[in-house]
Amino acid sequence: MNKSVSPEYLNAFADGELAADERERAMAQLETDPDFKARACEARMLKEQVKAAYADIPGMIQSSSRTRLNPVWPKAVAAGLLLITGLGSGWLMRGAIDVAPEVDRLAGLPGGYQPISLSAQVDPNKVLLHLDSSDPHRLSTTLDLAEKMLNERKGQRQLAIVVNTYGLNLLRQDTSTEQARIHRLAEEHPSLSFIACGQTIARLKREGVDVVLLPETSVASSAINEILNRMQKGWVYVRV
Amino acid sequence: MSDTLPLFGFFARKRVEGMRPRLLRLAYAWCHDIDLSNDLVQEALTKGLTRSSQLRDAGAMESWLFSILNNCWRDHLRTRREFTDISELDEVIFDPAPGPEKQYASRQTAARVRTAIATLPMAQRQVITLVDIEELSYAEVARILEVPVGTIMSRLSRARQALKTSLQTEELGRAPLRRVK
Repeated sequence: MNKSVSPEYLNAFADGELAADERERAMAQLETDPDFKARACEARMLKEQVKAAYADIPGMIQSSSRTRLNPVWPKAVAAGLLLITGLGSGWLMRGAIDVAPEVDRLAGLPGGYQPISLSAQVDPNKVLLHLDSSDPHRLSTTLDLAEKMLNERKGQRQLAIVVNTYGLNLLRQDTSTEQARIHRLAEEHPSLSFIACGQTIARLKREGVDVVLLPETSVASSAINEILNRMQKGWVYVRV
Repeated sequence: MSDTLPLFGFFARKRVEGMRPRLLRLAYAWCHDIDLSNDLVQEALTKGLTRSSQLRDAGAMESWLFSILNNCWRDHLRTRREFTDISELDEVIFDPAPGPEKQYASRQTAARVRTAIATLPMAQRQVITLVDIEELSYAEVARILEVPVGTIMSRLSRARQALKTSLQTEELGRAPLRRVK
């Protein structure tokens, strides 16, 4: 962990408490310091999670007049992710981050998932599935989605499954329960790629975990960077 | 003021009453008990309404109601636990489990976050919920809780660190992580 940035500074940035000049410096740092970017992103997601955890409370009658109360989970978290990372690139200022209408109904994607893109340049045939949980149901759902979406646009669609934090379990030899299926999918669909977050791997190794990945996996410097780079190139982001 | 301007009084009442859902959400995030939350909010609104003529700056109404709610909550804790020392009260962890209302959590993630929040000491819990749920500035939160801004920042920092750790530990507990050597 980068000790050069204090948790208080990180929080102040995530909470919009920095003065204008400090904020500008922090945004510049997002571009050059992947560790800071990941931590800022994490702080922002945590914030969104807390907010979303109390969006619906027991017995709450949704008032029609004042509904700041209804963030949909995946959207809230994805927006949090994009907000912090997007700020650095100035996307937010241009209002470019959006749920682009043309991908609102991504072929093969069931309801309940929120495709997100940078509306400037979007290619619905390039889809990125992001998994950060080790929940077995979400692991298998990720593969279900991938298969369905690839079959929907056979031969035309590129699909990347990007995993970080606990999602890495999907691609680790000692933890993956889906090895056979991943192997089969990779053989059937050359346009499908499995990408693991380099920072998660580094962290696990520091903690003494021996990380051996499935042979189908490639490693990116960090999941966040990979996601942002691809989105800048027109990929559509879906958080599983 | 409400004597001379009855209309102001009417609108102030409407606005105070309109804050109910937000107060309820906040109270629930503090105590994780919906019945108690309803009681606290009712009490806070009643106090707010009877004192609404004292509110000079209508723009400050939200913070003002949050601080009334905070006082109601503190009073409740004092009676229940017979605490006299506020600082002692701040360190105490109440109701580590969110209880049966877990079932209302529309998604598992929300329940996990609430469980993690429930393990935070009350002072940290209040800060993180005011900052994250209500998106108030550090200065506003400092005013509501009547502590210095620096204290808000350090509580927030500890709260987020603890939350992060407890969410990760929980994930690790479920994940078949195998340590080698």
